Amino acid sequence: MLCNVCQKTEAVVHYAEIVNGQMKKMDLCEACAVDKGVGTNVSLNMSDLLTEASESTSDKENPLSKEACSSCKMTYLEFKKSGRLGCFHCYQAFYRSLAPLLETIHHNSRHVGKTPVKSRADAVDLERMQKLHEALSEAISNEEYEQAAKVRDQIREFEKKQNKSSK
Amino acid sequence: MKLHVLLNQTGEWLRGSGPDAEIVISCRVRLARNLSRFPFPAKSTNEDKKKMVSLLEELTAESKYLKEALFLRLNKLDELDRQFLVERHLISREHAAGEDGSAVIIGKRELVNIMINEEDHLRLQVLHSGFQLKESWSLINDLDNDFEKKLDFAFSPRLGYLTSCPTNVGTGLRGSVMLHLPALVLTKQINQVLQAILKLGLAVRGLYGEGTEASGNLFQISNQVTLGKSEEEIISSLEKVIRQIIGHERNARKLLIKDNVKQVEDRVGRAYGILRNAHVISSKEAIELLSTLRMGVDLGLLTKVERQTINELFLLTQPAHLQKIAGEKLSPENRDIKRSNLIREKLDEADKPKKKKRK
Ligand SMILES: [Zn+2]
Ligand SMILES: [Zn+2]
Repeated sequence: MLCNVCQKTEAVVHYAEIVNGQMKKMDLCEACAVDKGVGTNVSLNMSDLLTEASESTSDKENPLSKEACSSCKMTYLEFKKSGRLGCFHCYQAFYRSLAPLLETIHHNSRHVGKTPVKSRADAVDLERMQKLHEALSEAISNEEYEQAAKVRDQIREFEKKQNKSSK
Repeated sequence: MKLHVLLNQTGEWLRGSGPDAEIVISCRVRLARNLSRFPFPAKSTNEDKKKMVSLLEELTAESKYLKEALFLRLNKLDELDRQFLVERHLISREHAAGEDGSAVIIGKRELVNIMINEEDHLRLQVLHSGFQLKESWSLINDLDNDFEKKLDFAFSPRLGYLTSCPTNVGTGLRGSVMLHLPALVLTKQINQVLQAILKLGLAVRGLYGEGTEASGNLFQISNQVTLGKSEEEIISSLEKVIRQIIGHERNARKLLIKDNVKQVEDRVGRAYGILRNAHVISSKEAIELLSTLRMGVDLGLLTKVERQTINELFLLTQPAHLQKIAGEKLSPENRDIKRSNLIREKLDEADKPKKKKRK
Protein backbone atom coordinates (compact mmCIF):
# COMPACT_ATOMS: atom_id res chain seq x y z
CA MET A 1 0.00 0.00 0.00
CA LEU A 2 1.39 3.37 -1.02
CA CYS A 3 1.34 6.50 1.09
CA ASN A 4 -1.77 8.67 0.53
CA VAL A 5 0.21 11.86 0.56
CA CYS A 6 3.37 11.39 -1.47
CA GLN A 7 2.21 8.28 -3.36
CA LYS A 8 5.82 7.14 -3.45
CA THR A 9 6.74 5.36 -0.29
CA GLU A 10 5.18 2.31 1.30
CA ALA A 11 2.60 3.29 3.92
CA VAL A 12 3.61 2.20 7.40
CA VAL A 13 1.40 4.32 9.60
CA HIS A 14 -2.32 3.97 9.41
CA TYR A 15 -3.72 7.15 10.61
CA ALA A 16 -7.26 8.03 11.48
CA GLU A 17 -8.78 11.37 12.16
CA ILE A 18 -12.05 11.69 13.95
CA VAL A 19 -13.69 14.95 13.15
CA ASN A 20 -17.36 15.62 13.80
CA GLY A 21 -17.97 12.00 14.59
CA GLN A 22 -16.57 10.70 11.34
CA MET A 23 -13.43 8.71 11.08
CA LYS A 24 -11.22 9.29 8.09
CA LYS A 25 -8.54 6.70 7.44
CA MET A 26 -5.16 7.64 6.06
CA ASP A 27 -2.29 5.41 5.10
CA LEU A 28 0.99 7.24 5.28
CA CYS A 29 4.69 6.63 4.98
CA GLU A 30 6.80 7.46 7.98
CA ALA A 31 7.90 10.86 6.76
CA CYS A 32 4.43 12.02 5.82
CA ALA A 33 2.97 10.63 9.04
CA VAL A 34 5.38 12.67 11.07
CA ASP A 35 4.60 15.67 8.95
CA LYS A 36 0.93 15.25 9.65
CA GLY A 37 1.65 14.13 13.14
CA VAL A 38 0.14 14.92 16.46
CA GLY A 39 -0.45 18.53 17.18
CA THR A 40 -1.12 19.87 13.71
CA ASN A 41 -4.19 21.98 13.17
CA VAL A 42 -7.57 20.44 13.37
CA SER A 43 -9.92 21.46 10.66
CA LEU A 44 -13.39 20.46 9.73
CA ASN A 45 -13.78 18.86 6.39
CA MET A 46 -14.97 21.91 4.51
CA SER A 47 -15.86 20.22 1.27
CA ASP A 48 -18.23 17.86 3.07
CA LEU A 49 -19.84 20.76 4.83
CA LEU A 50 -20.19 22.72 1.64
CA THR A 51 -21.86 19.80 -0.08
CA GLU A 52 -24.21 19.50 2.84
CA ALA A 53 -24.99 23.18 2.82
CA SER A 54 -25.66 23.32 -0.89
CA GLU A 55 -28.17 20.52 -0.54
CA SER A 56 -30.33 22.69 1.64
CA THR A 57 -29.96 25.80 -0.49
CA SER A 58 -29.51 24.59 -4.02
CA ASP A 59 -27.22 26.64 -6.21
CA LYS A 60 -30.00 27.55 -8.59
CA GLU A 61 -32.31 29.15 -6.09
CA ASN A 62 -29.40 31.04 -4.61
CA PRO A 63 -29.15 34.28 -6.56
CA LEU A 64 -25.64 35.00 -5.36
CA SER A 65 -23.99 31.66 -5.96
CA LYS A 66 -22.97 32.50 -9.50
CA GLU A 67 -21.51 35.79 -8.51
CA ALA A 68 -18.02 36.72 -7.61
CA CYS A 69 -16.82 38.88 -4.76
CA SER A 70 -16.43 42.30 -6.33
CA SER A 71 -13.41 43.06 -4.18
CA CYS A 72 -11.14 40.02 -4.62
CA LYS A 73 -12.92 38.38 -7.61
CA MET A 74 -13.27 35.05 -5.94
CA THR A 75 -16.29 33.14 -7.22
CA TYR A 76 -18.56 31.11 -5.03
CA LEU A 77 -17.59 27.98 -6.95
CA GLU A 78 -13.95 28.67 -6.27
CA PHE A 79 -14.76 28.94 -2.59
CA LYS A 80 -16.75 25.73 -2.74
CA LYS A 81 -13.77 23.93 -4.16
CA SER A 82 -11.10 25.24 -1.80
CA GLY A 83 -13.12 26.01 1.32
CA ARG A 84 -11.18 29.26 1.64
CA LEU A 85 -12.54 32.75 1.13
CA GLY A 86 -10.54 35.35 -0.75
CA CYS A 87 -11.05 38.41 1.42
CA PHE A 88 -13.33 39.65 4.17
CA HIS A 89 -15.74 41.16 1.65
CA CYS A 90 -16.49 37.61 0.55
CA TYR A 91 -18.48 37.21 3.77
CA GLN A 92 -20.79 39.85 2.41
CA ALA A 93 -20.76 38.70 -1.19
CA PHE A 94 -21.61 35.09 -0.29
CA TYR A 95 -23.63 35.90 2.77
CA ARG A 96 -26.71 34.05 1.67
CA SER A 97 -24.80 30.79 1.23
CA LEU A 98 -22.57 31.33 4.21
CA ALA A 99 -25.31 31.98 6.73
CA PRO A 100 -26.71 28.42 6.69
CA LEU A 101 -23.18 27.04 6.55
CA LEU A 102 -22.18 28.93 9.68
CA GLU A 103 -25.30 27.65 11.38
CA THR A 104 -24.27 24.08 10.52
CA ILE A 105 -20.73 24.50 11.77
CA HIS A 106 -21.24 26.62 14.85
CA HIS A 107 -24.96 26.30 15.66
CA ASN A 108 -24.74 30.03 16.11
CA SER A 109 -24.82 33.07 13.89
CA ARG A 110 -23.65 35.92 16.07
CA HIS A 111 -20.29 36.75 17.56
CA VAL A 112 -20.29 37.34 21.30
CA GLY A 113 -16.55 37.29 22.04
CA LYS A 114 -13.80 39.81 22.04
CA THR A 115 -14.12 43.07 20.10
CA PRO A 116 -11.09 45.05 19.04
CA VAL A 117 -10.74 48.26 21.03
CA LYS A 118 -10.28 50.41 17.96
CA SER A 119 -13.54 50.81 16.09
CA ARG A 120 -13.37 49.64 12.55
CA ALA A 121 -14.38 52.24 10.03
CA ASP A 122 -13.96 49.74 7.25
CA ALA A 123 -15.37 46.62 8.91
CA VAL A 124 -18.08 45.03 6.84
CA ASP A 125 -21.56 45.79 8.03
CA LEU A 126 -22.97 42.29 8.09
CA GLU A 127 -25.77 43.44 10.35
CA ARG A 128 -27.22 45.53 7.55
CA MET A 129 -26.47 42.78 5.07
CA GLN A 130 -28.42 40.29 7.15
CA LYS A 131 -31.42 42.65 7.27
CA LEU A 132 -31.34 43.12 3.51
CA HIS A 133 -31.16 39.39 2.94
CA GLU A 134 -34.05 38.80 5.30
CA ALA A 135 -36.07 41.37 3.39
CA LEU A 136 -35.12 39.65 0.15
CA SER A 137 -36.21 36.20 1.35
CA GLU A 138 -39.42 37.59 2.68
CA ALA A 139 -40.23 39.34 -0.59
CA ILE A 140 -39.48 36.16 -2.54
CA SER A 141 -41.59 33.95 -0.31
CA ASN A 142 -44.46 36.44 -0.54
CA GLU A 143 -43.99 36.42 -4.30
CA GLU A 144 -43.47 40.18 -4.31
CA TYR A 145 -41.02 40.13 -7.16
CA GLU A 146 -40.85 43.84 -7.71
CA GLN A 147 -39.93 44.37 -4.10
CA ALA A 148 -37.38 41.53 -4.34
CA ALA A 149 -35.72 43.13 -7.31
CA LYS A 150 -35.54 46.40 -5.43
CA VAL A 151 -33.91 44.80 -2.42
CA ARG A 152 -31.48 42.97 -4.65
CA ASP A 153 -30.43 46.28 -6.15
CA GLN A 154 -29.98 47.65 -2.66
CA ILE A 155 -27.74 44.72 -1.80
CA ARG A 156 -25.57 45.31 -4.86
CA GLU A 157 -25.43 49.01 -4.15
CA PHE A 158 -24.49 48.36 -0.56
CA GLU A 159 -21.73 45.93 -1.54
CA LYS A 160 -20.26 48.38 -3.98
CA LYS A 161 -20.23 51.16 -1.46
CA GLN A 162 -18.59 48.99 1.16
CA ASN A 163 -15.90 47.85 -1.21
CA LYS A 164 -15.07 51.39 -2.16
CA SER A 165 -14.95 52.70 1.38
CA SER A 166 -12.41 50.08 2.33
CA LYS A 167 -10.03 50.68 -0.51
CA MET B 1 21.88 28.60 10.89
CA LYS B 2 19.67 30.09 13.61
CA LEU B 3 17.74 26.88 13.99
CA HIS B 4 20.56 25.35 15.99
CA VAL B 5 19.40 27.43 18.90
CA LEU B 6 16.18 25.45 18.85
CA LEU B 7 17.87 22.11 18.49
CA ASN B 8 19.78 22.61 21.71
CA GLN B 9 16.90 23.82 23.81
CA THR B 10 13.83 22.22 25.26
CA GLY B 11 10.68 24.01 24.25
CA GLU B 12 8.50 25.20 27.09
CA TRP B 13 5.82 22.68 26.16
CA LEU B 14 8.16 19.69 26.50
CA ARG B 15 9.23 20.39 30.04
CA GLY B 16 6.86 17.77 31.38
CA SER B 17 5.88 20.03 34.24
CA GLY B 18 2.84 22.10 35.09
CA PRO B 19 -0.55 21.04 36.46
CA ASP B 20 -1.60 17.45 35.68
CA ALA B 21 1.57 16.93 33.67
CA GLU B 22 1.39 13.17 34.23
CA ILE B 23 -1.58 13.13 31.84
CA VAL B 24 -1.60 16.43 29.98
CA ILE B 25 1.45 16.79 27.77
CA SER B 26 0.73 20.27 26.54
CA CYS B 27 -1.99 22.73 25.76
CA ARG B 28 -2.22 25.31 23.08
CA VAL B 29 -4.42 28.26 22.27
CA ARG B 30 -4.31 29.92 18.90
CA LEU B 31 -6.03 32.92 17.40
CA ALA B 32 -6.64 33.45 13.69
CA ARG B 33 -6.38 37.07 12.60
CA ASN B 34 -6.39 38.89 9.26
CA LEU B 35 -5.40 42.42 8.41
CA SER B 36 -8.19 44.42 6.82
CA ARG B 37 -5.78 46.09 4.40
CA PHE B 38 -5.01 42.96 2.41
CA PRO B 39 -7.04 40.15 0.84
CA PHE B 40 -6.77 36.78 2.62
CA PRO B 41 -3.71 34.69 1.64
CA ALA B 42 -5.66 32.81 -1.06
CA LYS B 43 -6.08 36.06 -2.99
CA SER B 44 -3.24 38.27 -1.84
CA THR B 45 -0.33 38.89 -4.17
CA ASN B 46 3.28 38.08 -3.36
CA GLU B 47 3.76 41.81 -3.10
CA ASP B 48 1.05 42.05 -0.41
CA LYS B 49 2.55 39.13 1.46
CA LYS B 50 6.02 40.59 1.45
CA LYS B 51 4.67 43.88 2.75
CA MET B 52 2.94 42.05 5.54
CA VAL B 53 6.08 40.14 6.45
CA SER B 54 8.09 43.37 6.69
CA LEU B 55 5.37 44.99 8.75
CA LEU B 56 5.38 42.06 11.16
CA GLU B 57 9.15 42.10 11.36
CA GLU B 58 9.00 45.68 12.60
CA LEU B 59 6.31 44.79 15.11
CA THR B 60 8.34 41.86 16.38
CA ALA B 61 11.24 44.14 17.15
CA GLU B 62 8.97 46.44 19.15
CA SER B 63 6.77 43.96 21.01
CA LYS B 64 7.66 43.21 24.60
CA TYR B 65 6.12 39.75 24.14
CA LEU B 66 8.56 38.87 21.41
CA LYS B 67 11.90 39.74 22.96
CA GLU B 68 14.69 37.52 21.59
CA ALA B 69 12.28 36.01 19.11
CA LEU B 70 13.48 34.39 15.90
CA PHE B 71 11.97 35.79 12.74
CA LEU B 72 12.26 33.32 9.87
CA ARG B 73 11.24 33.73 6.24
CA LEU B 74 10.30 30.28 5.05
CA ASN B 75 11.71 30.73 1.56
CA LYS B 76 15.14 31.08 3.15
CA LEU B 77 14.87 27.66 4.77
CA ASP B 78 15.54 24.34 3.09
CA GLU B 79 13.10 21.48 3.20
CA LEU B 80 14.73 19.76 6.15
CA ASP B 81 14.58 22.92 8.26
CA ARG B 82 10.94 23.37 7.43
CA GLN B 83 10.14 19.81 8.40
CA PHE B 84 12.10 20.38 11.58
CA LEU B 85 9.78 23.29 12.42
CA VAL B 86 6.73 21.16 11.60
CA GLU B 87 7.92 18.47 14.02
CA ARG B 88 8.24 21.11 16.73
CA HIS B 89 4.66 22.29 16.04
CA LEU B 90 6.01 25.73 15.12
CA ILE B 91 4.60 25.72 11.61
CA SER B 92 1.95 23.56 9.98
CA ARG B 93 2.49 21.27 7.03
CA GLU B 94 0.47 23.62 4.92
CA HIS B 95 2.61 26.52 5.99
CA ALA B 96 5.81 24.59 5.30
CA ALA B 97 4.72 24.18 1.69
CA GLY B 98 4.09 27.91 1.33
CA GLU B 99 6.51 29.82 -0.84
CA ASP B 100 7.36 33.51 -0.92
CA GLY B 101 5.84 35.67 1.74
CA SER B 102 5.44 33.00 4.41
CA ALA B 103 7.24 33.55 7.68
CA VAL B 104 7.22 32.43 11.26
CA ILE B 105 8.04 34.20 14.49
CA ILE B 106 9.31 31.96 17.26
CA GLY B 107 9.31 33.44 20.73
CA LYS B 108 11.77 32.69 23.49
CA ARG B 109 11.57 29.06 24.63
CA GLU B 110 8.97 28.48 21.93
CA LEU B 111 6.21 29.61 24.25
CA VAL B 112 4.71 32.00 21.73
CA ASN B 113 4.77 31.58 18.01
CA ILE B 114 3.18 33.26 15.05
CA MET B 115 2.66 31.90 11.57
CA ILE B 116 2.46 34.58 8.92
CA ASN B 117 0.50 33.95 5.73
CA GLU B 118 -0.59 30.43 6.46
CA GLU B 119 -4.34 29.95 5.98
CA ASP B 120 -4.85 33.34 7.60
CA HIS B 121 -2.53 36.33 7.70
CA LEU B 122 -1.72 35.62 11.30
CA ARG B 123 -1.99 32.59 13.50
CA LEU B 124 -0.93 33.58 16.98
CA GLN B 125 -0.31 30.70 19.32
CA VAL B 126 0.85 29.87 22.80
CA LEU B 127 2.00 26.42 23.79
CA HIS B 128 2.37 25.50 27.48
CA SER B 129 3.36 22.23 29.08
CA GLY B 130 0.81 20.64 31.39
CA PHE B 131 -2.76 21.73 31.83
CA GLN B 132 -2.74 25.52 31.76
CA LEU B 133 -5.38 26.47 29.23
CA LYS B 134 -6.40 29.64 31.06
CA GLU B 135 -2.79 30.79 31.22
CA SER B 136 -2.37 30.08 27.52
CA TRP B 137 -5.48 32.07 26.71
CA SER B 138 -4.44 34.95 28.91
CA LEU B 139 -1.00 35.20 27.32
CA ILE B 140 -2.27 35.00 23.74
CA ASN B 141 -4.94 37.57 24.59
CA ASP B 142 -2.25 39.99 25.80
CA LEU B 143 -0.25 39.47 22.64
CA ASP B 144 -3.35 40.00 20.53
CA ASN B 145 -4.11 43.26 22.38
CA ASP B 146 -0.57 44.37 21.81
CA PHE B 147 -0.79 43.69 18.06
CA GLU B 148 -4.19 45.26 17.83
CA LYS B 149 -2.78 48.64 18.78
CA LYS B 150 -0.76 48.64 15.59
CA LEU B 151 -2.76 46.45 13.20
CA ASP B 152 -6.22 46.86 11.81
CA PHE B 153 -7.90 43.45 11.92
CA ALA B 154 -10.74 42.35 9.66
CA PHE B 155 -13.67 42.32 12.06
CA SER B 156 -17.42 42.52 11.88
CA PRO B 157 -19.61 43.11 14.92
CA ARG B 158 -21.92 40.36 13.77
CA LEU B 159 -19.46 37.64 12.80
CA GLY B 160 -16.43 38.68 14.82
CA TYR B 161 -12.92 38.16 13.46
CA LEU B 162 -13.19 37.30 9.78
CA THR B 163 -11.11 34.33 8.71
CA SER B 164 -10.24 32.54 5.47
CA CYS B 165 -12.23 29.51 6.48
CA PRO B 166 -15.72 29.93 7.96
CA THR B 167 -14.89 27.22 10.51
CA ASN B 168 -12.73 29.74 12.39
CA VAL B 169 -14.85 32.86 12.17
CA GLY B 170 -15.95 34.61 15.38
CA THR B 171 -13.30 34.32 18.04
CA GLY B 172 -10.82 32.65 15.69
CA LEU B 173 -9.86 30.68 18.77
CA ARG B 174 -8.84 27.07 18.84
CA GLY B 175 -7.79 25.53 22.12
CA SER B 176 -6.22 22.10 21.99
CA VAL B 177 -4.97 19.81 24.67
CA MET B 178 -2.60 16.91 24.09
CA LEU B 179 -3.35 14.03 26.42
CA HIS B 180 -1.47 10.84 27.18
CA LEU B 181 -4.09 8.20 27.98
CA PRO B 182 -2.36 4.81 28.20
CA ALA B 183 -4.54 3.44 31.00
CA LEU B 184 -7.81 4.21 29.22
CA VAL B 185 -6.38 2.46 26.15
CA LEU B 186 -5.13 -0.55 28.14
CA THR B 187 -8.42 -0.96 29.96
CA LYS B 188 -10.29 -0.59 26.66
CA GLN B 189 -12.39 2.33 27.86
CA ILE B 190 -10.94 4.79 25.38
CA ASN B 191 -13.56 4.44 22.66
CA GLN B 192 -16.36 5.08 25.07
CA VAL B 193 -14.61 8.21 26.32
CA LEU B 194 -13.83 9.46 22.82
CA GLN B 195 -17.38 8.91 21.63
CA ALA B 196 -18.64 11.00 24.53
CA ILE B 197 -16.22 13.79 23.62
CA LEU B 198 -17.34 13.76 20.00
CA LYS B 199 -20.95 14.09 21.09
CA LEU B 200 -20.01 17.31 22.86
CA GLY B 201 -18.92 18.81 19.56
CA LEU B 202 -15.22 18.62 20.25
CA ALA B 203 -12.67 17.23 17.81
CA VAL B 204 -10.38 14.34 18.69
CA ARG B 205 -7.29 13.37 16.88
CA GLY B 206 -4.93 10.55 17.51
CA LEU B 207 -2.19 8.75 15.72
CA TYR B 208 -3.51 5.28 15.16
CA GLY B 209 -1.31 2.25 14.80
CA GLU B 210 -2.11 -0.75 12.71
CA GLY B 211 -3.90 -2.47 15.55
CA THR B 212 -6.61 -0.94 17.61
CA GLU B 213 -4.24 0.83 19.97
CA ALA B 214 -3.56 4.46 19.29
CA SER B 215 0.11 4.92 18.66
CA GLY B 216 1.78 6.58 21.55
CA ASN B 217 -1.60 6.74 23.30
CA LEU B 218 -1.59 10.42 22.47
CA PHE B 219 -4.82 12.26 21.79
CA GLN B 220 -5.44 15.84 20.91
CA ILE B 221 -8.76 17.33 21.86
CA SER B 222 -9.93 20.72 20.68
CA ASN B 223 -12.99 22.90 20.31
CA GLN B 224 -14.76 23.17 16.96
CA VAL B 225 -17.16 26.01 17.56
CA THR B 226 -15.68 29.50 17.32
CA LEU B 227 -18.81 31.57 16.74
CA GLY B 228 -21.48 32.45 19.29
CA LYS B 229 -19.41 31.71 22.38
CA SER B 230 -17.00 34.00 24.12
CA GLU B 231 -13.33 33.08 24.39
CA GLU B 232 -13.73 32.43 28.11
CA GLU B 233 -16.70 30.15 27.51
CA ILE B 234 -14.82 28.16 24.89
CA ILE B 235 -11.81 27.76 27.17
CA SER B 236 -13.79 26.86 30.26
CA SER B 237 -16.03 24.32 28.55
CA LEU B 238 -13.00 22.67 26.98
CA GLU B 239 -11.33 22.71 30.37
CA LYS B 240 -14.32 21.02 31.99
CA VAL B 241 -14.27 18.17 29.49
CA ILE B 242 -10.51 17.70 29.85
CA ARG B 243 -10.89 17.61 33.61
CA GLN B 244 -13.33 14.74 33.27
CA ILE B 245 -11.02 12.83 30.97
CA ILE B 246 -8.17 13.34 33.41
CA GLY B 247 -10.42 11.89 36.12
CA HIS B 248 -11.21 8.82 33.99
CA GLU B 249 -7.55 8.27 33.17
CA ARG B 250 -6.60 8.58 36.85
CA ASN B 251 -9.21 6.01 37.84
CA ALA B 252 -8.04 3.65 35.11
CA ARG B 253 -4.45 4.01 36.32
CA LYS B 254 -5.48 3.26 39.90
CA LEU B 255 -7.34 0.21 38.73
CA LEU B 256 -4.34 -1.01 36.75
CA ILE B 257 -2.07 -0.70 39.76
CA LYS B 258 -4.60 -2.37 42.01
CA ASP B 259 -5.49 -5.33 39.81
CA ASN B 260 -2.64 -5.79 37.36
CA VAL B 261 0.48 -4.23 38.78
CA LYS B 262 2.72 -7.14 37.72
CA GLN B 263 1.50 -7.05 34.13
CA VAL B 264 2.02 -3.31 33.96
CA GLU B 265 5.47 -3.54 35.52
CA ASP B 266 6.32 -6.22 33.01
CA ARG B 267 5.23 -4.07 30.11
CA VAL B 268 7.20 -1.09 31.36
CA GLY B 269 10.24 -3.20 32.07
CA ARG B 270 10.19 -4.78 28.62
CA ALA B 271 9.78 -1.40 26.96
CA TYR B 272 12.76 -0.10 28.90
CA GLY B 273 14.77 -3.20 28.03
CA ILE B 274 14.12 -2.85 24.33
CA LEU B 275 14.79 0.87 24.23
CA ARG B 276 18.08 0.46 26.10
CA ASN B 277 19.29 -2.37 23.92
CA ALA B 278 17.83 -1.99 20.45
CA HIS B 279 20.11 -1.06 17.55
CA VAL B 280 17.47 -0.48 14.89
CA ILE B 281 14.14 1.06 15.76
CA SER B 282 11.33 2.50 13.67
CA SER B 283 9.58 5.69 14.60
CA LYS B 284 6.36 3.83 15.30
CA GLU B 285 7.97 1.30 17.62
CA ALA B 286 9.86 4.05 19.40
CA ILE B 287 6.70 6.05 20.01
CA GLU B 288 4.87 3.01 21.37
CA LEU B 289 7.66 2.07 23.73
CA LEU B 290 8.30 5.64 24.86
CA SER B 291 4.60 5.93 25.67
CA THR B 292 4.81 2.79 27.81
CA LEU B 293 7.91 4.18 29.48
CA ARG B 294 6.15 7.42 30.25
CA MET B 295 3.31 5.50 31.81
CA GLY B 296 5.86 3.68 33.98
CA VAL B 297 7.33 6.98 35.13
CA ASP B 298 3.91 8.51 35.75
CA LEU B 299 2.82 5.48 37.78
CA GLY B 300 5.99 5.59 39.85
CA LEU B 301 7.11 2.19 38.55
CA LEU B 302 10.19 3.56 36.84
CA THR B 303 12.29 6.15 38.62
CA LYS B 304 15.46 6.13 36.52
CA VAL B 305 14.09 8.35 33.81
CA GLU B 306 12.54 11.79 34.00
CA ARG B 307 9.39 12.73 32.21
CA GLN B 308 11.16 15.55 30.39
CA THR B 309 13.69 13.10 28.95
CA ILE B 310 10.89 11.00 27.48
CA ASN B 311 9.10 14.05 26.12
CA GLU B 312 12.31 15.17 24.48
CA LEU B 313 12.81 11.74 22.96
CA PHE B 314 9.32 11.82 21.43
CA LEU B 315 10.50 14.87 19.54
CA LEU B 316 14.18 14.17 18.92
CA THR B 317 13.50 10.76 17.39
CA GLN B 318 11.42 12.24 14.58
CA PRO B 319 13.00 12.22 11.12
CA ALA B 320 13.94 15.87 10.65
CA HIS B 321 15.31 16.12 14.17
CA LEU B 322 17.47 13.03 13.71
CA GLN B 323 18.84 14.53 10.53
CA LYS B 324 19.49 17.93 12.10
CA ILE B 325 21.36 16.24 14.94
CA ALA B 326 23.38 14.16 12.49
CA GLY B 327 23.98 17.25 10.38
CA GLU B 328 23.17 15.39 7.18
CA LYS B 329 20.38 13.75 5.24
CA LEU B 330 19.68 10.20 6.33
CA SER B 331 17.88 7.36 4.59
CA PRO B 332 14.97 5.82 6.52
CA GLU B 333 17.15 2.78 7.31
CA ASN B 334 19.87 5.01 8.66
CA ARG B 335 17.39 6.97 10.68
CA ASP B 336 16.23 3.78 12.40
CA ILE B 337 19.82 3.17 13.48
CA LYS B 338 20.47 6.75 14.60
CA ARG B 339 17.18 6.75 16.44
CA SER B 340 18.10 3.72 18.49
CA ASN B 341 21.55 5.19 19.21
CA LEU B 342 20.06 8.42 20.46
CA ILE B 343 17.55 6.65 22.70
CA ARG B 344 20.26 4.40 24.19
CA GLU B 345 22.48 7.40 24.83
CA LYS B 346 19.77 9.40 26.59
CA LEU B 347 18.64 6.46 28.69
CA ASP B 348 22.23 5.59 29.68
CA GLU B 349 22.76 9.18 30.67
CA ALA B 350 19.60 9.16 32.76
CA ASP B 351 20.71 5.99 34.51
CA LYS B 352 24.03 7.39 35.71
CA PRO B 353 23.85 8.44 39.34
CA LYS B 354 24.99 12.03 39.07
CA LYS B 355 24.34 15.72 39.51
CA LYS B 356 21.32 17.09 41.32
CA LYS B 357 18.24 17.16 39.24
CA ARG B 358 16.70 20.41 38.18
CA LYS B 359 12.97 20.55 38.86
ZN1 LIG C 1 4.48 9.73 1.99
ZN1 LIG D 1 -13.52 38.57 -1.60
